[in-house]
Amino acid sequence: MQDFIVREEDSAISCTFSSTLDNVDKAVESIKFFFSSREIHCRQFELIYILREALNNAVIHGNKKNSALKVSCTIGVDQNVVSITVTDQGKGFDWREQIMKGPVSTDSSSGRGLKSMAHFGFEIRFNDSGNTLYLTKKII
Amino acid sequence: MSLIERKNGVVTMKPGIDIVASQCAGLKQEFLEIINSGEKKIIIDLSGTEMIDSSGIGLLISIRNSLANNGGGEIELINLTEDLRQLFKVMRLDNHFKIS
Repeated sequence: MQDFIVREEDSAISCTFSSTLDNVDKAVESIKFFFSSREIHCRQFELIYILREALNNAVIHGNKKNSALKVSCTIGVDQNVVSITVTDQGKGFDWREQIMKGPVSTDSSSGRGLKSMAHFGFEIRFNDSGNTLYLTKKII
Repeated sequence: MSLIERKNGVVTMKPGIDIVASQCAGLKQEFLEIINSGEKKIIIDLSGTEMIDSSGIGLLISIRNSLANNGGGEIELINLTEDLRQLFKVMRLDNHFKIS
């Protein structure tokens, strides 16, 4: 099976890849190119930052960097709403507990990934087990 | 590999790449070599860096903490894009690093 698969439609792009950080970079580059080629105007820095957080979480925490496990992501734009779905093949996590946690100490070197998604105004949802993340935001 | 310049007791390090999860292990090694050589003032030149993700932020904080545990010192960030400047503000890190 291929290590990295990308599929583009008119208003959505999907990537499926084995769990390495190099593949996160590859997915981000494919998605950046998709957004610029479709002339979709949004705050690209925020979008790419959030996307990286979601993909890093899936690779590092979800699949524990096990390259035999896959990460899938889909990004679509419909009626000025950008939707991001990221799924890993890990066992999930207690996202309810994570969301209830207070702010991360500025001295802490970790724990910012999930919090930063809310900082940038993305609505965050998970499936029950926590191995699929859904993010949405109005972009215009 | 970052560009590293030493002048008058100040080390300027220019990664020239995005400071993201895939790059953190290599960059951490470079930072630790600088700290272990006894340098106290480190300038990180972020021209050429468009993105710092939370792993990258974590790296910068751990380097700052290592410097503090190694007898103290200062990290200054220069040549940030407006997006990165805003990121540090949103994350409430603009008071933890000298940003020029």
